[in-house]
Formats: sequence, C-alpha cells, structure tokens
Amino acid sequence: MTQYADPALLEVEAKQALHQLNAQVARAFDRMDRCLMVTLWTEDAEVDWGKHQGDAKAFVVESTSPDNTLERTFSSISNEYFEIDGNSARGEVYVINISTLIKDGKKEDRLIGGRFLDQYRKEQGAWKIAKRSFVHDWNMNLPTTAVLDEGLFAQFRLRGERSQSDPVYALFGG
Amino acid sequence: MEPAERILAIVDRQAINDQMTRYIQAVDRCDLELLKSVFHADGVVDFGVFEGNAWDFCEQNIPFIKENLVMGWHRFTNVGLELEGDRARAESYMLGNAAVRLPDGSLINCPDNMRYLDVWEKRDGIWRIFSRDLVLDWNASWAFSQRSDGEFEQYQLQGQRDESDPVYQHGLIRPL
Repeated sequence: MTQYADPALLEVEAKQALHQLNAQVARAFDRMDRCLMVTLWTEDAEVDWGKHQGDAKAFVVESTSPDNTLERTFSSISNEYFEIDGNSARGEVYVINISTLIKDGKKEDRLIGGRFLDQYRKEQGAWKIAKRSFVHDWNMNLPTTAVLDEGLFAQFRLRGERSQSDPVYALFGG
Repeated sequence: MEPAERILAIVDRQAINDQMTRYIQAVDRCDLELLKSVFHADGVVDFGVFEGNAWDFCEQNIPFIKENLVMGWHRFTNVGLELEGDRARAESYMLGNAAVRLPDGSLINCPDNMRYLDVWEKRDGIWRIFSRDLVLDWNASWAFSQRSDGEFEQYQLQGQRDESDPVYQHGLIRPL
C-alpha cells in the first residue's frame, strides 16, 4: 500500500507545496516582505523578468525595497500547471497584478496580466524557485477611481498595506 | 511524517479548498443555506460592514447583496494555509466584480481586490470557518459597459444569482 501510494502521494504533496510557494511569493511581493522573499528562492536562482536578467538577488532586493511611486499591489495567481520530476519541477502560473502608481502627484491603476514560467527545486524538504521567467500578456492603464473612505467601502476597516503592518501578520506572525 | 499523516494533510488542504470554493458559490448564487454551512454556528466574522456571529452575518449579508448589487461575481486565488492538527490558518486572495446602481439611477462597475484571513476548525470530521476577517486592498469605479446584444446574444446560458443558475442542475451545489 505504502509503496504503491508513494509516487502519487509525492506528486500531490509537491503540487500543494508549489501552490503554497506561489502564494508566499505573492505575499512577500505585495507586503514588501524581504525576510520571507529571500527564503523562497534557491541560492543560485535566476530571473528573466523585464529589466532583471540573471541572478535573482537583485530582483529580490528591489521588489522588497520601499518605492514611493507604488502605493499598493495585488498579485492574484491562478491556473497553476505543474510537472513534477523528483526533486525538480516546472510550472506555468497565471497572474493578474493590480497596482496603484503615483506619477507626478497623480494616481494611476495599472493592471498587468501575464504568466510565470518557473523551474523549481526541492532543497532540504522545501520547494523553492530556481528560475522564474515573466511573460507579459496584456496590460490596462487607467486613472485611479478607488473609493476607500466613502460609502460602503469606508466600512471595510481592515486595509492592505505594503508592509508588516498588514493584517495578515496578526494571523501568521512576522 | 508517516504516509498516513501525509495523506491526512493532503486531504485536509483539499477539504478546506473545497469549502473556500463553496463560500464563493454561496455568495455568487446568494445561497444562504450554503453560506451558513461553510461556517461553524459559533463562528465569527470581522468584515467591517459586519462584526459578530457568522450565521447572523450570513442572514444579513445575503439579502443585502441581493438587493444592493446588480451583479456580483468573485474568484478566489492564492491560498496560503498553515495546518495545525484540527485547526488551520489561511490567507486567500479574492478578485470580485460587482455592479451597483447610484442614487441617480446610473450603473457603475466596481471591481475589487480583497483578502480573507481565516481560522478553520475541523469538528466531527468537517472543516468549517471559525473566524474570517476581510481586508480591503483595492477597488475601482468603472463605467458599466455590459451588453446583451450583438456577439453577446449567442450566450444562451447566463449566470444567475439564485437557484435558477445552471450549476444547480449539474448537481454541483452540495453543502456539507
């Protein structure tokens, strides 16, 4: 029974762990959480993500550094397709990133639809990203129309933050 | 971990994911019975618009969204989950799309990004939410541009916010 179940068990465990990994990368990115972000990549990880080419460390640092032109980001991932091969895996992950940018004192919403094409590696029991390429599919750029402090939306007391003051840290700890 | 424990962890993750799906089914079909089934009777929510007992929230929220949203569709993504025996903590992302009628009668389209921060508990073998908080990340007010003419006439199956939606005929609404 155990011998029979092991390959299937390992595969579904890996897929669940890779979903968790992708959710954690999104959290680290959206909350500007460098402590979390650095743990999610292999030591020799690489990126092919716009201006970032090669060593992932520069991306990890820049994506978790304060940016006065970026008010908020929301990275929603879906359509995760994984191929598992022992301690390695490949994946395609769809993402819609919605950001509010501050440009010349004006706020603008930027929606980007794209996909991550990833290589993953399991090290000491933990799945990490070994290489991430970002494929741009579409974008939308609109003046900000967010209603945050009026009407019904004003009642949503808990607000997302690009820092560890976000409510998620009360649930999971810093 | 022993294989039995590993299998249990996989099953638990899948069960919580299924319940998260039912939550969205319930909100999008305005299905009060289904929505209540996702929460424990003594569960609590902190949604800003409502703080208190989860079942009271359900009773208040379903008629509210039915009356105040002209349409409302949601998709949840990004589930970060920490299992601790019969309890779990979870963050999930939600992208919603709703339309509301303004006092002047015009319609606007309001997409929104929110997150759910949850504590789940397995009791008598069934995972339900003990605590759910709602975090607002972003929204927009766009001109309502939905059409039903031209190329849209071909879509005979139209989503409905009640039990006439085709998902019911397919037997895919099953509260635990």
